[in-house]
Amino acid sequence: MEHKPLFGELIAAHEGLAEELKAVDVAADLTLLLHHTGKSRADLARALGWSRARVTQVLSGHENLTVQTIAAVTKALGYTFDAVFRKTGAPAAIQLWEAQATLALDMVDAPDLQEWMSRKTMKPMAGRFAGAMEFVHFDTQLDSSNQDEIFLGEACAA
Amino acid sequence: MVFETVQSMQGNDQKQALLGLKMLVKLAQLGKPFNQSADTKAVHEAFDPFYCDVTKKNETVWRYRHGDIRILFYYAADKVVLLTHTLPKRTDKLSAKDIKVAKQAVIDFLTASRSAAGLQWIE
Repeated sequence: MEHKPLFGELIAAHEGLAEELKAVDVAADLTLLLHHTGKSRADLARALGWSRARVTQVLSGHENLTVQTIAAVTKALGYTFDAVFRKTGAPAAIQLWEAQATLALDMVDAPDLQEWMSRKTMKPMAGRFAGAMEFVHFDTQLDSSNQDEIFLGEACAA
Repeated sequence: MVFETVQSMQGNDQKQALLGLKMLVKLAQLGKPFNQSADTKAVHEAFDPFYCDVTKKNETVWRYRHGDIRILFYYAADKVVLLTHTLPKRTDKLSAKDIKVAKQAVIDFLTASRSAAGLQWIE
């Protein structure tokens, strides 16, 4: 089954958009890290000596964040970060919150889980279920390992 | 339909819509309502809840703002997020037409999910 780009052509039509999408990725990951730590935006602003507006701007995905900004935010949250490289199309490294979500799912009572997954609307997801993170964009499914594919992978006819 | 809508957008609107969708998809990883992770000003109810004949109760369409782009969505069962509409919006109020599009997407989804065949996810 060959997957054609869903938004690939649209992205390619905009010069520099692929890089801007990466910037959004980073901002979203910082947002998810903030949530993972259980801290609020106000907490982060206080820790950094920033205004709430500055925190909002940094986490909005509208800004091309510098390494210094990313480092400052992660440090304020008690973390650090690395640049991890992978082949194009290869799965992204699992983030802290993704591992936690999978663990949480493992702790769900099996009968309930089976009942939940056997629902008509969930059946097709069961085979690829890897965590408590599903997202459906009409006919494209998302889980923690393929979120990039929603932009790159188009639903194919059977 | 959202895909077609984004396709029909021009220039920077299309670009911003793609960036907004990307952010929404990323935040969806959390498996929790977006207002728990996004800025409260960025995510809130798109318009007043509407009575849905399919579920026989009021349903709510939410909106995520990314610059001038508004992405309307509905929290369906089983952690499914239905994208109901995407539009460039530079005024405060949603048009009746846009509200109707979003409502109809919810109704169509709920109707399909309750049909004998159920929803079919295509990989």
